[in-house]
Amino acid sequence: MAFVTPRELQERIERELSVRTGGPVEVGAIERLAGGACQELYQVDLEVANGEAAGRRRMVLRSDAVRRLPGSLDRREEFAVMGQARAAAVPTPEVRWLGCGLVREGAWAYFMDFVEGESIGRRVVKRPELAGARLRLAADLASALSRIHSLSPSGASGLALPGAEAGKAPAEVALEFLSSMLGRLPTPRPALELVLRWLLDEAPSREERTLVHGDFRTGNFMVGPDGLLAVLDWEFAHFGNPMEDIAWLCVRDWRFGELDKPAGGLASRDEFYRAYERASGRPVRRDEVRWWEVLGNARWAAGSIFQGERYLSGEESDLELVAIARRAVEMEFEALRLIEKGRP
Amino acid sequence: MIDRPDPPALLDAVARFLLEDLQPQVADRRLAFRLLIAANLATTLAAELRTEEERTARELRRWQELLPGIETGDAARMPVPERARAIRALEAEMAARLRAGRLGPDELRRMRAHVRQSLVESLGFVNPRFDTSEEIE
Repeated sequence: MAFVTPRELQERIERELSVRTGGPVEVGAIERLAGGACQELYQVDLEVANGEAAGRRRMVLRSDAVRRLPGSLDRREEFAVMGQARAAAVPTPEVRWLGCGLVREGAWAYFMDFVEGESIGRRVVKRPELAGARLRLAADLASALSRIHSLSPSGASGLALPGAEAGKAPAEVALEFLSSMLGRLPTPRPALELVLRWLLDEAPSREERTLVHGDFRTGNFMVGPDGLLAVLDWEFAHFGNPMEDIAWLCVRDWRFGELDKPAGGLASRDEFYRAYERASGRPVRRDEVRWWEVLGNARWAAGSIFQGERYLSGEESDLELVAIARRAVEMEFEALRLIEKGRP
Repeated sequence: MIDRPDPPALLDAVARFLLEDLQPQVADRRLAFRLLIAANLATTLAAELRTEEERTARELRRWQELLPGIETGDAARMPVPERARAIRALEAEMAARLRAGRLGPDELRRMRAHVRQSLVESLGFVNPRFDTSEEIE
């Protein structure tokens, strides 16, 4: 599918935002950024004459991509979640001007304030310039997470997200998802079969249900010299067990080599758990975190195999995809290690 | 039979060419990163091929001990492709028993230990720097 040209996009944005703001809007530079599998990103410099957004500003335009990953939100749903998160004082970019068809027919898109900082995981955990930020990040992340988890399915006004319906436990929903992923694998993986068996046998009962970010990990935060600037990438937000976010942050692959700092390559488990408990008033249930961490590793192992399939099916031609698929054994090993370790 | 240079030696030569001759000439960062990935994949495959004979024999013997009574032949006397087929057959058998709920806690623990050993051996070439010790938090 042909992408919209920068020139066309510039004209469309100027037309659309002039109507929205009731005054002239000029677009300076537009640059396409590396997006994810389910969104297209553009960095856009704007000059807005009227309204509360008046002035020169740099923004990011996020649009639905052609494909959508299973379990992910579209930009309209993501826009709603980010609005609620900001209202709950979660540091996340301000979003505006949601609309449909700006980049492509039928595709939802919105604008988000550009936040200047570092988000590349490896750099966040290693860059000397961010050493000061790293001292604060455990507390900043714990505080942001506790605010996300303060939103409940009944309290978050009308957020229609996966997991909102009562009845099914979060662990049950996650197990069905994993099991269907494993069912679609091109060849069965004995390690993942064994991990699924363990997860089924050990699933937590009586889970709490709150808003869950769903991809809360190093690499999805914008960090500046003074600490956390913004939580990004909300496309996997859902209602579920808040321990899922804590576990995902601790998944080994997101430590970027800082193995002795399980909380995102930034802090020890104790330090992060205590900071979260102080901020949220909710105890960290270590047995549940361990269960969700095993699940996170299994899901990421299967996910990385599917990345390779995108190459092998001929859909994409990026060599990195097949290399990622080869790394699935790392996540499989880690899931089995956590099971045998017997404590979080 | 053409066996010199053998396939692992050729793959190592490809990796060396990519890293030493080509990469310094590439200014584009995205491309330079993918050159690194390509070299790494070639090195990985060389190591995988070098250890294949012994590794697959060990893996099949472990499976045979875990699932006795299923006739898959003598691991030591089989060519590698046949061994791989036997391993896949035993894996499928395990998966069937697993789904039928026919494995008790002790059997499950032994299966996990065996599969983990196979993963450790794979990690030896997929990512030799991967730390497989238990002591990680």
